[in-house]
Amino acid sequence: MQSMRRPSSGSILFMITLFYVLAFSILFINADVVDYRGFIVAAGAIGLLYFQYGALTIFFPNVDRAVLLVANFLCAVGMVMLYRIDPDIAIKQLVWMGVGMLMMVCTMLGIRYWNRWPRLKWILMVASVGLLALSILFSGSVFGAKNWFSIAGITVQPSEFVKVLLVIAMAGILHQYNGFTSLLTIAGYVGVCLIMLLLQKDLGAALLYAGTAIIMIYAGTSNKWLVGGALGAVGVGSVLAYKLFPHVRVRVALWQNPWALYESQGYQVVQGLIAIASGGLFGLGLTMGMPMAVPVRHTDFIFAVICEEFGLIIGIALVAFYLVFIVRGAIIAMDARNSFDAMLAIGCVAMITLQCFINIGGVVKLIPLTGITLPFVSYGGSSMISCYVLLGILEGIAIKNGDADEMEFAEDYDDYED
Amino acid sequence: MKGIRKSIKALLWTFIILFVVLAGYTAYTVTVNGSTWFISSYNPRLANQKQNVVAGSILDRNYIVLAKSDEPGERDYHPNSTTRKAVSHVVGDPYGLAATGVESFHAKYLLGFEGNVFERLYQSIVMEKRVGENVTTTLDSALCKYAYEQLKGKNGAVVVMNYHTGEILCSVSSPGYDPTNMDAYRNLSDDDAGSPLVNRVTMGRYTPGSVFKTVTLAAVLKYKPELLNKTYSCSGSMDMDDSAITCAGKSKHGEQTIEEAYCNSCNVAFAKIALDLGRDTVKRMAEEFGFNEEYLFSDLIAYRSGYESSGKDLDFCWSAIGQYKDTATPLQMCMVAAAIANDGVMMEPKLVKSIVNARGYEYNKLSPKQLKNVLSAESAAALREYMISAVEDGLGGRAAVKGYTVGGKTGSAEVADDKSIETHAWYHGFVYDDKSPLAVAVVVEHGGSGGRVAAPIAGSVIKKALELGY
Repeated sequence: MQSMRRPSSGSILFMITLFYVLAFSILFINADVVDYRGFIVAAGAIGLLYFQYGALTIFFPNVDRAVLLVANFLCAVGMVMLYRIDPDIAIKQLVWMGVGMLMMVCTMLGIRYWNRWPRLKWILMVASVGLLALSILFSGSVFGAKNWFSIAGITVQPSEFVKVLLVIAMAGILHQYNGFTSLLTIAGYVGVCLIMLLLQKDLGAALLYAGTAIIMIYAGTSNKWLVGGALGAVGVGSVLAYKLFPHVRVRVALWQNPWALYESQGYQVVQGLIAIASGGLFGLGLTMGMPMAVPVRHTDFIFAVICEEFGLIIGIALVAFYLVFIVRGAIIAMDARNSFDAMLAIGCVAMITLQCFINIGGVVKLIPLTGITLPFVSYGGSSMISCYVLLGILEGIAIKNGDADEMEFAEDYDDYED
Repeated sequence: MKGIRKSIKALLWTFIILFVVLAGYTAYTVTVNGSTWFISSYNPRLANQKQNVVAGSILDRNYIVLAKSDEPGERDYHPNSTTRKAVSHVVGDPYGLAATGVESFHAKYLLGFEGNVFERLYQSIVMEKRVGENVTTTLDSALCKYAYEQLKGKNGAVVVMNYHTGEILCSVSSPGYDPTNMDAYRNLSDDDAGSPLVNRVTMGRYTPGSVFKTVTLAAVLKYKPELLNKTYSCSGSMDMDDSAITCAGKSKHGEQTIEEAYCNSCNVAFAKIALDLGRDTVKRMAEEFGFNEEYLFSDLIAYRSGYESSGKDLDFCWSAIGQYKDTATPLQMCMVAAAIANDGVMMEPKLVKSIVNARGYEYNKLSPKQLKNVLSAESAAALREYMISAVEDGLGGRAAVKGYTVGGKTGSAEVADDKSIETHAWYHGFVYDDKSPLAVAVVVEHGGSGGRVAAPIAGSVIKKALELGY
């Protein structure tokens, strides 16, 4: 079984390294001026990759290698693309990647060795609302609110961190599901969060929170009527938001026909689509495209830039990689030994799934564009750290599952001996 | 825990479906809309690439150069100014002002975006400058020039296609523009109906008038052939609702069979035929011929030709005679005639004969494609006979070509209630000959009578095409 389970992780690691080396060589050769920062970023990223993967697999043999490798590959694609867009941004991203990995290990250990998380649910709920309120307070006026504020020159986006708090708090409520009271708590909590996000015009996060909450409610209760009701509530809420907020109406109009509104805001979607179309199936080749034509190229629209230079085929492969992550994540959730862990794991998977779907779906115009990052790929400290923390939660539960497996196996073995 | 596991399993399937939809939609939308997005004037890559690549040439079907570049950023066109104008709408212009030309629509070949990895590697190693690929069109530039001259400066369009293969041999829109002097056209608005930048063959949505009777007649043959035994009387006018259906020039055609009514282009009889057919049948036939449909072909894009009627009998009857709110592009009416001549099979119109890459290798060669099967071979043959007699005995006489079997229908479409405004002159038809399978459509804006103005142009263009060996 051992050899069945772990034959290829080394070769996948090698492939990621090869990807880094080849991509940065191309970037180095095709650059107009010699820029040695490429070496630093490539060496740093590869170093982090081996250190993280090596340390984790040596000290915690039960970590799930598939999710870890997929996350690392996604980061690699992101790093290459960001360096190609702007080396300065890539260096910052490298730092955030390091911080993210550290946070991942801390979270993993916290989940593995501390089992009183469910008790924190009330504190976490208050903290989430507080954090979301901070950005409204800091920006002065309620209606001109932004979804970020800065401390000591670093921009913080609270909605990214609240994602994690929401998953833990929801798991805490749902693992002791007791009908009406639990539902009322969830409705109140999620409702307040959504209103705050809508005030900050953070539609993407609002959609993400609502979706994750519904998915977790279904996982915890298996009640289809409840999910139907929740979806209905979201539907009514969306219609209300459409009627109340002009910026929601603009988003929908942009989705229906971005070409007609090119001069105002449609250019974002249009340039994204043009970039994807220009790449064709196999892409224009790294450094051969024109990512500078794509707005918000390093965060929300990075998928379009990747498609332009690497081709539609790699864009679709990226979707497939996320799917591998999701399937492995769901398996971790199904393996979990208690309902809190299972809820926690499926919550993390739901967050990544929806975030990926909302981002790519918005770029290719399947759904309205809402302004959300692509997990592990887009630039952003808050986004990077929150994705790694979600990964840390998954890995913590994976280790727990693995350790429990080993214990059961040992007990069986003991039984056999007697 | 068991319940949670089961729910998670269900959720996992939901996630998988969600992602399959996402990947599928992405692939689908880029495949279908990709080339339209790419050629958009908002795409800065095109202008950028023009400065870095020696753009490929655009050739006619006999490899006569219609546009070429010797240096990046430069563009030369055919030396004869009439030929330049005649092929201008198909060829396009260097700035993409007339956005549907080959220059824009096939920019991915001309600017070398389409070449594969090996091609690009080969170019970067062997060649000094990057070179685009040549596009060979199906046009015959001599025929285009001749057709352009036949329009004598009047606004209008001529299109000729091979109905076996769908190749467009001649596509001319007058007035043409001169791609070597685009500054003259920069301030024109897109909505300007008189603009030389509009390709009237694919973008001109004209009231079809009597040429639409071919569609109504096809509906009779396909859905109610028993009507062929009936006769229809015409006293020049028929009162209906609060108005009347009238025949052109108040002619009284008397008692006629459907064949005679078609040759006489009798409005009153066709109004009665339409009432016998019913609303749904006429609409169904029109849509089977491609009305109400966006044409997004691999080689060209054409505006939608429209058919609709209202609850009022008067509106419906006029719509079956090609008035009311009917619109048709010359290409659409050419395709209708082509399908009838081709035993009811409509071919996809083709404009690209092949792509020739920088090393002279020819690929993407034209392969004829059936668009749809509109009529049975028998119905098409019967309809063909009607169209042939409309030329031999009817109003289309001036389209006849000696020694060939020619079929067609004229139209004089009323475009305003004011009788002092001249009608659009229409003709659509075909040469029924296995060696020269040609279909044609002609429209002359405010030209007057279709039989007197459009039919002779069609006749002489067809004659020229036959001389050229098509």
